[in-house]
Amino acid sequence: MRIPDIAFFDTFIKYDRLREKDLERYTKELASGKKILTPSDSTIDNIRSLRFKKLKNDIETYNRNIDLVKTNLDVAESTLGNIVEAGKETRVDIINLMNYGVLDYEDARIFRDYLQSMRDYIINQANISVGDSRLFGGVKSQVNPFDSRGIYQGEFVDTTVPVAPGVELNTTFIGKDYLGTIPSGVWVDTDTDNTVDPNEINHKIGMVKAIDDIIQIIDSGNLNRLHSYISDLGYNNPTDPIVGAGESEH
Amino acid sequence: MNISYGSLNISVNYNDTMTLNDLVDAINTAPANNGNVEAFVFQDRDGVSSFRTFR
Repeated sequence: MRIPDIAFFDTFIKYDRLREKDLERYTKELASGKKILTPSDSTIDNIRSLRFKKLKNDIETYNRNIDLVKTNLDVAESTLGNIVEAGKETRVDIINLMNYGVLDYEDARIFRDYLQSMRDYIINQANISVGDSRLFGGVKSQVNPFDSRGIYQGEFVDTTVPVAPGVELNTTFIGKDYLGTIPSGVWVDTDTDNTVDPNEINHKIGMVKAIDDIIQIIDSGNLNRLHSYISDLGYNNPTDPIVGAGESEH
Repeated sequence: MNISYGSLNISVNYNDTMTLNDLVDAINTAPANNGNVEAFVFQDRDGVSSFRTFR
């Protein structure tokens, strides 16, 4: 069989091109100092690289969340510390009052105003916000979680962000649980299912409730009532029948 | 209805229509009481009335 010259020529050209390609690649490798020049040079390594990129993004997100959570936890901790300190200070003064027992009108007014400012301070602290979010409102909200009576009006769920795989930390807190609230006010069975549902009870900051009661007793003028025993039931009105009024919690 | 405060026993006539005010009056005017126990209606700042006693 005769092989025409042209066929030889084509073969030479073909191999020449391949060598040229190789040459070009080696030149690029030498110039860049890298062996892998395009993703297709190493598919497995390329996939690994993409995984690393995703991991890096995840870690950056976690870092941002950790910064956010740390700020919020710091503020929450110092706020609760402030409230505890205010409570301790007020407690000492209340014990002094109970031991002392008798106050003239002016002293009673001064002490009453002091208690009023302390309970207002506690409520203000409980309404602390970081940025535009109230810390103790349960979810991100610009509405005060505690009203001027110290009663919780926030949500009953809290917000968390992931700080590591499977680990979530709070950015906002359920004020009802963190501020030591007690049921206060009359239970109204709004959905008439004869069951005490969480949203049917007023949750009042315990310390504020105690201070409010003392203020009310000072206002009544009978300081000896500070030593009274409290009953278990609360009513809307003193003329309500004791039995069957459908009212409890106070 | 008998209410005990330590050694003190106070009898109060009780029926279903008795109100918080009635109970307070009954305790304060009971013959056995003699002013040892004072009951009062306490209305807190949120407008809730409750029954309290002290001696």
